Amino acid sequence: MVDEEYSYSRRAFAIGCSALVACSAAGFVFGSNLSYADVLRPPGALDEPDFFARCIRCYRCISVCPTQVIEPMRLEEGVLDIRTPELSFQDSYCTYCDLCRQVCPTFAIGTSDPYDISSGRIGVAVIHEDRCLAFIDNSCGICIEQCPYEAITGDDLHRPVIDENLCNGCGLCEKICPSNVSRSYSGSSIRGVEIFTEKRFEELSE
Amino acid sequence: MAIRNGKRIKLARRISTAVVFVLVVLSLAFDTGFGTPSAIGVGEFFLLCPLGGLEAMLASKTFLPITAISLAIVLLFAAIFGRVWCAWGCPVPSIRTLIRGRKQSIDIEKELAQKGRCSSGCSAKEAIAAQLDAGMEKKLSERLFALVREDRRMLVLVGVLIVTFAAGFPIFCLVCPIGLTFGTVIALWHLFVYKQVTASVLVFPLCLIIELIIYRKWCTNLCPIAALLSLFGRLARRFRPVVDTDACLLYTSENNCHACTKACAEAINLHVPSAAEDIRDCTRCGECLAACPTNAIRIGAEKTSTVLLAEEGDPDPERLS
Repeated sequence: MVDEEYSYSRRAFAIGCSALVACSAAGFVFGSNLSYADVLRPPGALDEPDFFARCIRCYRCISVCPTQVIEPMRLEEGVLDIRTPELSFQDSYCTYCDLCRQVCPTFAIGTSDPYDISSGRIGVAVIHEDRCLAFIDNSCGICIEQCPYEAITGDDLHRPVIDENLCNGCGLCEKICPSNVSRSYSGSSIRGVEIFTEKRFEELSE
Repeated sequence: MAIRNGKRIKLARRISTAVVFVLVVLSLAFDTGFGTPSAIGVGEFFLLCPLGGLEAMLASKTFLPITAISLAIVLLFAAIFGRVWCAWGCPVPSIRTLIRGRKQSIDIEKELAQKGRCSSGCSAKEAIAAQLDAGMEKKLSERLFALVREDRRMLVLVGVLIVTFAAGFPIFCLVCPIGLTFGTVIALWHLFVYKQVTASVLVFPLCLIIELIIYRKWCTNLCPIAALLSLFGRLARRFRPVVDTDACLLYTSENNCHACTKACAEAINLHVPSAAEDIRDCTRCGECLAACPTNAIRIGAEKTSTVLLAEEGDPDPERLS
């Protein structure tokens, strides 16, 4: 009786072992075919593969953010990235207060200096000339006055020009941009200025 | 000092589970950064999910000293109090109770038969005799083997860690019902407060329903966090339920009472010596105390080498004859 039980469980154990081997193989194949999201992470966030490996989706950065600029990623933006933090500048911007770095339990967010763009900035602002009011009818220029880092200057016609070497992607310009704020039925809520991720910005400049 | 009142434990448990929810909501409302149970704390001090911490280190192939310290504290807690989190903090049992009522979700007879232990069909005397015959002293390899054989959660735990290491990201966090529960709370908060419209609000609860309501055996068959906690829970010698054989109906009468085993979500049979090993799965939920018709079970702070305590200390099969 006892022997029977043991032979049964030896078989189960063998099945278990092969399942584990299958697991690691599946995990490896899965891992090497991952396509990493290209989204605006909190300032100082590690490179996407490292960040993705460390984020345990605990929501601490989201819950500590004093400006509520960090939001959990939605299902629509990618199943694997769901619940990881992402910056959204529709209603808020980043003050580089450093709190999200302090509370991260797995150190997925590193230090960043808002005045040193090589220290891990969020992204870069890009003007959409077809949406920016200054480009359309020369009527605006609010971002030029408001940018905390003086990264936006006006050209001869008082149209905004971004200095990519000063812009840290804090998103204040996108938050205050009046263009397209209420045009939700136009099919897009993109404003006159938008923060691009570093990767998207490089693709744009090429 | 020992507690015998199971109803008070159950009430305290409900309050502590509610406190976790309140903390999460307060944290969202006042930007305090308590976080969720995946990592809960104040400022730079935090306790984090032991599985999440392990996964993050394995996935990034980096040793994170402060994360490891927090991990050690959580596991030390488990080594002292066992799987106390599962009954006192985890939202999963409450969700199941809310939706399914107090239905016993485990086929107790089958569970006991699988473990090769006394079902309510055989007498306590027979069970104890069989166990003493089999011998409680086992080799380490046999004990490891038994661990995996008796607890499928261990396989899931090992599987999750391997896949996480190979794939390079914390894969269990995607489906973790604790994460999904607080994900639902936060998705709802972001929907109503910040007008962030997302399908997550519908999909998270749907996943929870599949995992907890349709599958039903998540905690006892699948949860790798439970497996990790019970690995350390076997070291916890204090605050365990102890049967007083002078009051237990099974020992003092012909009555074949197994009320405590039937009430136990983990189907631990406290009446047999092997309970000393099975008790690693005890979540200190107090259901056995509440179910006992003679109040023969108590939870006390004293160290107990075995969970079955007669007046003299050790279980004595001769007492039954």
